[in-house]
Amino acid sequence: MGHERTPKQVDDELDEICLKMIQLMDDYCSSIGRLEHCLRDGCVHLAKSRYVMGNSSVSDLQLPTSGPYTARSTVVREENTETINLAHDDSGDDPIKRFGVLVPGSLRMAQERFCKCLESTIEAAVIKSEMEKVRGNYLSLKDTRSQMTNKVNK
Amino acid sequence: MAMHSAVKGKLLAVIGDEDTCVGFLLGGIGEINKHRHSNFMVVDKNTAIIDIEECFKGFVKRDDIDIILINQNVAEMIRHVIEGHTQPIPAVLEIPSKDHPYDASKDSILRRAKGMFNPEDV
Repeated sequence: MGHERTPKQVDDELDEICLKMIQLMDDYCSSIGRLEHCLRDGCVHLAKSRYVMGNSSVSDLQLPTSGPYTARSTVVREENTETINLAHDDSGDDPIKRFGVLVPGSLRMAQERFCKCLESTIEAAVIKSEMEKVRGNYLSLKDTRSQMTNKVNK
Repeated sequence: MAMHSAVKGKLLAVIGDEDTCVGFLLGGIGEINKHRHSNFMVVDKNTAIIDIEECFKGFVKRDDIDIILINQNVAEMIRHVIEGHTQPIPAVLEIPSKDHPYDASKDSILRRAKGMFNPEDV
């Protein structure tokens, strides 16, 4: 025998879900704010490196064009949970070596800032997947609620 | 946040301006696989919208990509394609860029979430 929920219970659950969503929206905006801050810092350090090394020495010309080239930072999802972690593999070449052997400190600072950006990115991705889940729950609950209303109207 | 060492996970892909791509690749997310497919795309003022769309769709189809980072101003150019992507994986994150600060009112996920509080639906 299934437990029948009253419209009041469903309404309360909907309220709780809405509050949770507002909290998640706030968290998401905060993590994107942190990402923006790191990104801006990183771009300033890239600009400083350009000033020292020359325009074409810090540009898309340094991006890899022929493979295989392996990523050092990847994403690992824990099974059955919403957790996403950053995996770091130091076995390959440091990407900073593509920019030269003796690189200025500002380029290292830029690298550090963009590594921080990755952490904020993962944080935002976790919150985003939680938001999608909460929204799914909200839609199904709202469907249940409208079915209840239809029953009463009949 | 937990950091896993020596575990090969899924990739992060980037579609964005030069600084965003160079920066994130400095962070170590760049990869070119054995089929010579990269996980990044540099968008400049000469890049055609259709190319961005194709690249985005290509990233969505790849099963080794978990998160797609896209500059919000670039996302605006292909908004209809991004709105059409509703699968949780790969997660699409709209990020700010050097020249374009983040605008929460344009972000797809926040717009969908705000739809929950539309008074007409209550």
